[in-house]
Amino acid sequence: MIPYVQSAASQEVPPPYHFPGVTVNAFLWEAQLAPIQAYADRYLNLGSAEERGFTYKACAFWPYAMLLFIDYPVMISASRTSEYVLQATPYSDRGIVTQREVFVALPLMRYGYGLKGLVLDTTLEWALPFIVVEQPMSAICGREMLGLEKLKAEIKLGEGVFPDSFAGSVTLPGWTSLTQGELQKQLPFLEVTTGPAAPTFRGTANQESFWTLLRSRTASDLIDGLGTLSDFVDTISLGTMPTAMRTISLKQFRDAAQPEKAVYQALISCRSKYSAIQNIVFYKEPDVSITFHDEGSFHGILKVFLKLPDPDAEVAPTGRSYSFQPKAAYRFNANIDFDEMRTVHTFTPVFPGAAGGPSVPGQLLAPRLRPWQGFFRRPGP
Amino acid sequence: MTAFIDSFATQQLLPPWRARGVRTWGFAIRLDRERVEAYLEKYFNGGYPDRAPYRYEPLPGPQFGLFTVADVPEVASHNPGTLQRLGANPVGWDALSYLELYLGIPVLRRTVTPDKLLVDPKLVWVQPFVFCNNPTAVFSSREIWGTDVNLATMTREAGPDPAHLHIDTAMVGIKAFSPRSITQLLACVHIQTGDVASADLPTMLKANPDLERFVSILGGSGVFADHAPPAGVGESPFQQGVELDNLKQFRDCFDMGAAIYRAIVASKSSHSEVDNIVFFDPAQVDIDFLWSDSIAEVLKTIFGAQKPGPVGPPAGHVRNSPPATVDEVDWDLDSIPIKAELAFSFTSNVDFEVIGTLYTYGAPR
Repeated sequence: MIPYVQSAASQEVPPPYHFPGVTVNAFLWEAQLAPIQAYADRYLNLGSAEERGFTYKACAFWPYAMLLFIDYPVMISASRTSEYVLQATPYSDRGIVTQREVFVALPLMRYGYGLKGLVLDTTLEWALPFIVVEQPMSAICGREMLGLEKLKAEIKLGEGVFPDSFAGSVTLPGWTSLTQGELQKQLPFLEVTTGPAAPTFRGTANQESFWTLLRSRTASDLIDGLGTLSDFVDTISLGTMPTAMRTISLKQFRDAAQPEKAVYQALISCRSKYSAIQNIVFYKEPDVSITFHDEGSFHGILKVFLKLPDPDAEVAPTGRSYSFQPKAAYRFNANIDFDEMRTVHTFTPVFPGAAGGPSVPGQLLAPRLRPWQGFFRRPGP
Repeated sequence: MTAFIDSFATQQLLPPWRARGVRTWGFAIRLDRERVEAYLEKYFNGGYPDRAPYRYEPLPGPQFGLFTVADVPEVASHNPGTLQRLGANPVGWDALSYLELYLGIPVLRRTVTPDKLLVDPKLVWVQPFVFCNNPTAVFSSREIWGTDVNLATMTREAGPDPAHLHIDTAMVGIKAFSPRSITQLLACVHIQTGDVASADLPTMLKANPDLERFVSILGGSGVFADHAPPAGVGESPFQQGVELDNLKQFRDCFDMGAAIYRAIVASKSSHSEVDNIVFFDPAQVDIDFLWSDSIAEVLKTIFGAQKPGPVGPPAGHVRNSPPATVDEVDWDLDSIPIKAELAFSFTSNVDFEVIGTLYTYGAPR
């Protein structure tokens, strides 16, 4: 193992993390499978299926993109060991970080290669092609440790015009046009506004909303019970039932002298486990407006998870804004634990035996089967 | 190596790049030899478990470092890859601006031969810390050539004299470590110049002869390129002096104490069209660090500083705890003044390029 030498100037706090009392505003819309598959092929399905042992495919049974605005009032380092900071104060004793994060999540199925792989290694994971944070430290940790392609953004979250509504926006450094030498500037990327949480007399008629499906007392009780249920399921199944979001990302670094080459490329999976889910409320989706800005340097990423209605947008950035209503919009509070960071597969080990080196059996194994792994594993030397 | 897969989040400033119209301020400060040595031992000379075939040592004699502030109004990549990315219909995803503050220390790098002889001494610079206010520049620096940059909020006060400098740097940190402390935007460094020096450089060097060799090193490093060096700048005792060596390293996602990649990367910056050289009266230069637990480690290990008494922030700033908004810088901190021995400013164009990866730890030989 090559030790990482913690810099005295470093402000990073490595995962795992515990986030109590998080507020999540979620928005779902129908995504196109072809660009999602193209994204998976470009960033996850590198090399041949036989070599890597799996293939990521877009989920035909859940063709939705999910936009999350997450407000973390408290971020606590949940590392049980403090040796990474040498003699300094352990991260968990330094204090807490407040954080805001916005991302678009796309569901992908990872199918194992061959019959055995198909049975043992097949699982659902989420790609995050767009993720922004407001804390510099969070961006650096996400990029350098986990391969999450976090960008530093200005994120505004809060109540909209009406009480109990939501308004959020993201601005990012970018370039507006296709003019060589144009200077980078802070540009609007995304805005979301909603009406008040349902039920409400404001906005469109209640019966036009997806929310009305959940108006019955039975449905309401069921939603309230979901948080408890997820904990219960997790407890009785010893983790064999997936109750958490597992992300998959390509962690890669450029060579210094040949930046078009990578000195390291690996797929990293992490778990965001939601617990104590409560206060679930729905917004009437016809009253929700999601607006993305098709600026020069934003164009490519928008095409991954959004069907831009303008024919001009097929070939080049239009500089226009596109607004639409989601299929569903809701808010809830939860505790989130971010942990279980794993190297699923390494494409470019720097050298044999390096940390995070070639994938080994078990890292590909579907999470639902991991508790049984030790039971059936052949005795080691 | 395999091809790097470009993405939305890696629209980076690929080297080489060229910055135009850069205004640079340099402040020579005195350092302690043992601390420079400890820094080099920790980051460059250790066994990990293999040792690089280089030995980094402090220069002989008095130790100096150079605090540098750079106001870069426009920098753009000249990398062929960027140009290819721009394609037949070139897009301008390469031009940006930033402010930067760093400490550079000139040190001696010797090659270690297989029979453990130290040969080929070469003067190179190392940077224990860097602050920059542009995320794209920060991600590029950290992820490509390995500079240990922190993203900061930097405010430069504009004045009638373009050479005058008042810059404040703040970063998100924690004032006093405690499980209940909360991160804030904390003031970190304050730098302000005063009057232009009334004495010329030879007179200043005569009053502070320890500086003579450091100034000649600056001359050898290209600070006065394309320009007759000011009177008093002698010939550098070292033939080189433009190379910057960084430790580029990334953690493993599972074992955060392990590195999946660790290498020494060499790069160089070259100044051209140097102009508007101004020397300031060092006695009127204020360099103040603001003590917080988040930067205490740097202050202790590089400057040997200890937690100050309740002296408050530097002149021109007042305690404002708590700040009115979360975006406002908290100045309710105590300052640690650092004495400038020499202060100057100049304008130039700067070309930056990566020389190469000198050594990759753990790679088979």
